[in-house]
Amino acid sequence: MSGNRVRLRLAKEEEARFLSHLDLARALERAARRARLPVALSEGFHPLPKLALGPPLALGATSRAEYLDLELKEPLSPQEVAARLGAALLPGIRILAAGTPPPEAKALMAEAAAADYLVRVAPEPGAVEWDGPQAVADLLTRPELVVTRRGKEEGKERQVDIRPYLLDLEYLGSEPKPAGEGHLLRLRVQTGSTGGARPEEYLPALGRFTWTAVERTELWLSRKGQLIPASGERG
Amino acid sequence: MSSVEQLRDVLWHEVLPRVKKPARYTGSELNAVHKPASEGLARFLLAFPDLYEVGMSHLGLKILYDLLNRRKDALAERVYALGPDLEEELRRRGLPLFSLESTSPAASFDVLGVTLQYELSYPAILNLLDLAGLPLKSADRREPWPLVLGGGPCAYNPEPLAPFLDAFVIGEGEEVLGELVDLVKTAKAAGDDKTALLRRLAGVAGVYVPALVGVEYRPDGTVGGFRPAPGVELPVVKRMVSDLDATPYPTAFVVPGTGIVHDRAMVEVFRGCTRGCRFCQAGAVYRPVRERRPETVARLVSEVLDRTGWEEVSLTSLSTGDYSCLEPVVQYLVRTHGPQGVALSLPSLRVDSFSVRLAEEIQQVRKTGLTFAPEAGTQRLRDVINKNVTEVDLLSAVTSAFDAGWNAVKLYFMIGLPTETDEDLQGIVDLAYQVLQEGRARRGAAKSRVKVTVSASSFVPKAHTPFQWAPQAGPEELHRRQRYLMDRLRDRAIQFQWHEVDLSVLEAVLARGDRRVAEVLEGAFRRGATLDSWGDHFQMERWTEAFSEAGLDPSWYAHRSRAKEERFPWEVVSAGLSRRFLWREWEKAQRGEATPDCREAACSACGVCPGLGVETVLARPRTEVTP
Repeated sequence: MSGNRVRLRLAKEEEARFLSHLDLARALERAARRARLPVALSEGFHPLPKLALGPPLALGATSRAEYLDLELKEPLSPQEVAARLGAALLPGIRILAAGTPPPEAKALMAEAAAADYLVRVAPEPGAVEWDGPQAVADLLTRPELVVTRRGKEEGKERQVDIRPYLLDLEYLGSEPKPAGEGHLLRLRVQTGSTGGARPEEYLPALGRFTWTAVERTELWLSRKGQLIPASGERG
Repeated sequence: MSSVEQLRDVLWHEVLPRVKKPARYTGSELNAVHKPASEGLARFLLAFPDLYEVGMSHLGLKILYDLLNRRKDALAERVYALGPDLEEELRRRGLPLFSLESTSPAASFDVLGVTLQYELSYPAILNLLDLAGLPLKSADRREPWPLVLGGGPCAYNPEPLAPFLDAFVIGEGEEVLGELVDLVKTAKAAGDDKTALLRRLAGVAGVYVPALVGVEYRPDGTVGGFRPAPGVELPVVKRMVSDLDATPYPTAFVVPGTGIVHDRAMVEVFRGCTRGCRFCQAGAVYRPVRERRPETVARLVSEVLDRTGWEEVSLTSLSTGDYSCLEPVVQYLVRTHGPQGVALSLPSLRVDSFSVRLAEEIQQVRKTGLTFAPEAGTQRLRDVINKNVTEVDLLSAVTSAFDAGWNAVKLYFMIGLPTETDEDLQGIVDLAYQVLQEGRARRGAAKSRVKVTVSASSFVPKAHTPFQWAPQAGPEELHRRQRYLMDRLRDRAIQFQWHEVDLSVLEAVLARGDRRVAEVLEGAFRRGATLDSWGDHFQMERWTEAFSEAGLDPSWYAHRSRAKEERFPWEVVSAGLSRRFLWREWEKAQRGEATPDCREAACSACGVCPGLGVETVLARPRTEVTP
């Protein structure tokens, strides 16, 4: 990794939560161009700006832990990058922090190992009231949780045990919501090349919900065998 | 919570998470204008009757959106046709069509302005009205608001839509739009009822109010005459801007959140085209040519890139290769914006080696290949349609393209043109093989990658063109001609594309239909035709049933020869072209005589300039022009 690297922590809020990962990447490239940031370009016939996002977030989820690495043609302080890019962003995307990743840091996607999520669910009204703590305890005692995923090819499906990727699950309590009673859950889920899951994949095993709201709150990086929070990296 | 907030809450939390590509419906794109609705504001909802991906790629509505939102006393929001999944969710929950920006019900606006870009989008217009909870017919909408307006190229034959829309704006919207804002404010302040509002509208130059014009038919079914209400003057003549360079142009384009068909900035370098292709409605109705100055183009490109961050900018017009300052502008733009990774694209290449050189200069995308439109296979037929392109031009263009490194070339043709014979079809085949041979000879080691795509659409005669008298070839004949080409374009390196014949027939009916055709539209809509411009949603049976229910024969509209003196339903409006000119061109076509471009040769007396008090504006007058 070259020396002119800046890492930004972004929030993806309500207005932007229906942008896909690809949409967000493209929107950030355009924002960088509007901000006239000297982003380095890749080689080749169609040079692309060197911007890299962390692991994809599900469509519809919000986040306060999206990370963006930018490689610059010339050195600029992270604060300056944040100020300039921040003024050019689209509705629903905000910069929360800016820093320089340590020299030993690899690419975000190479180090991303897990993410924390805050999930709000509204149980479907039923004869018996949903018991959040019990549902959580039940899931945690299950040795496996097999879900069906769509394969890369059209029509192909495959079975995956996602229980090993659930690193932590906690029932945080309930809160009143206009649409009824909302319950809060916290999940830590593995991500990365050795396998991972999305938080929504665990919800059917917890109950039936009329609506859910997922927010990513932290990204964990694996570096030298240790899990470190991306938000705790010194800038 | 207000009802708008409630609607928004349900949409964002329960509906949008269930539909495909929800970013199409959020209205939270960069540069989307969110104006607070305040008293006295004229509120416009601009509707494109096709999916977001298509509608957001279109320049016209962006211009109107910008013009309206520049005004302190007006606001404009947007809506596009809904994907089938969202439509089903809304209908199931009894929710109304909503504007993207403020999630307001479509029916709550003062004006619902629909753009009329192609005939096959008409059912989608009815669907938008229906989803908005509005009666389809103007006469059944007793309340004056929302006023339902249409505008765009298809407004040049407003009749098939006449019962549905309250009024049509004929021609370019820029000038008339301001007058409409004023009218809306005045009419609201005066408490106009629907009748008063329509009368007031008919007083605006360029606005056609069908409720105030009766149509009489002869026993043979053709139009006998128009009966305008007192005070209404016919024909309604198009509005247009005379100085395009001084006309405001949007630069803070709404940047789509998700992928669309043409995901790039657009700068319009000129309007109008006087090449005079006899099949081309755009070339007829947007006359004369009015160019922007190169300095203006350069400034607009910089501004639009600054405000959108787009990685590609396209110089648009009906025929950008004809822009008189194209080469210096392209060179300047490549020099100025290329180093930032911004690509330049030209949407339409002329068939000559000059255009290929320019394409090379801007490194136009190689994988999709270069596209040329000879339109017809023989010189004779190209003279008939007045497409001033020779075989030598085409071969020199493709030769330059192959020499410059392109492997793929796409050729656009039309079949079913007036006077076409099998010899002309054979001409298409011969040209395709000649181009292929040229490619293989010139690409050396890459010769196995040479690909020629032949696209043959079916000719549809359009109103206000010299071919408005021409019959369309019948469906069996079109099928036969498609098969003729299919059977002979057999090489693996040649790809043949054609159009659904039924769709072309329908397009022909709507393009020259009269007011009675509206019943067919409504019948097809009631049977489920909504997104028929998308081939895979199209079902001909719905239309066949609707025609027989209405007692109309599609063939009478599409395939009938029209007499010189026949009055046409679309002659309630005028693009400024004289009937005498159009008939002369039709006769010249049958004799295979060309008419040169009035930019380069003598005036062809089409009637537009003297009639409308405008003239051709070139940024750099051509040296060949003799006084």
